[in-house]
Amino acid sequence: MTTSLLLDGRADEKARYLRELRRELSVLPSGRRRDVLRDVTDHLDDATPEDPRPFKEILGAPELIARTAIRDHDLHAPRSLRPGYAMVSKRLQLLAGILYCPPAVYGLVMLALDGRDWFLWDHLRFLLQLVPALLFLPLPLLARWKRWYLISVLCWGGYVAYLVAQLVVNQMAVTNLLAAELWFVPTSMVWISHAPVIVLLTLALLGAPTVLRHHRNLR
Amino acid sequence: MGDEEDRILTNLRKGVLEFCVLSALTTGPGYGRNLAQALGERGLLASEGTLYPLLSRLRDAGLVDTELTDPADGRQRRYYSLTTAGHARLAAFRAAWAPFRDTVDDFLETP
Repeated sequence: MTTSLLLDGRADEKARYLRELRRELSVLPSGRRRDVLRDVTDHLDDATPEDPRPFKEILGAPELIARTAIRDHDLHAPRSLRPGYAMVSKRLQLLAGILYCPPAVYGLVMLALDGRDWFLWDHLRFLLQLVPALLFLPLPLLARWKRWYLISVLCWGGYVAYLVAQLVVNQMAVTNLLAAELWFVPTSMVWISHAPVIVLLTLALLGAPTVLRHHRNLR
Repeated sequence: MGDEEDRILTNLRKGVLEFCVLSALTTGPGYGRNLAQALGERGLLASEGTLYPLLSRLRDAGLVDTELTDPADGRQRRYYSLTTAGHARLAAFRAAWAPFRDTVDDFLETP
């Protein structure tokens, strides 16, 4: 009974370790990630029966293994690593960008088809309100690994600050200022997409691999 | 071990570890855990798991090859062995390392 409980605990610890490692290695290209995961799994299968030490003590923290892999990549590649789309956080950022597109495209098409002169304040306002998203959504997708987290936080902050500014301007009805009206009075098409975009960008930051969040502290 | 000494060792290991791995395979094929322990015991690895990204790169570069043992022989293991390119790379490093090490030793021992 005790032996069985110990084995169950060991299996849980192994599953937990591999889950963490998979998350940390998701930054890497698929071939390297697959190789390392397979080798570490083999190592754990080998070590389990005879070594009672915690897996993090035997193999090292998952973020340390990922950090070594990224450094090794950077030493032998012409450019620093750009996190891959196997990383859940990056998929969420991509999804946020994709979700933003339909209302924006729909709004642009409707403006083009509404039969009025092209250059109207409504049009300008709509276009200006696309700018923050066009700036903040693609940047984290292009960032290299060392700056990915910082850029993601800054873009998230910029996006949230812009939405807060919109709310404040609307609450205070500061629409007598042309600039405030142009930038901050929301057009309905754009406003629809903000909520899911913010949720996805927040989840992307919360679920980011430790190796990207604390890479300066890892040796 | 002090922080400074630790940092120096980390930087030194970066440059030589792959050749130590290649050298460990000159006596014959070895499997991951076996190699990790041999290198770890001599202080060449920060932790055993950090060997695997390096092995993956050496395999991609064609310096080592892998082979799975027959499951009928007991636990199935992935064995690493040196390729011809791996032998050549190691020989080139050895030729460069000896004079380099002597130069650094001379420099450090000169008061």
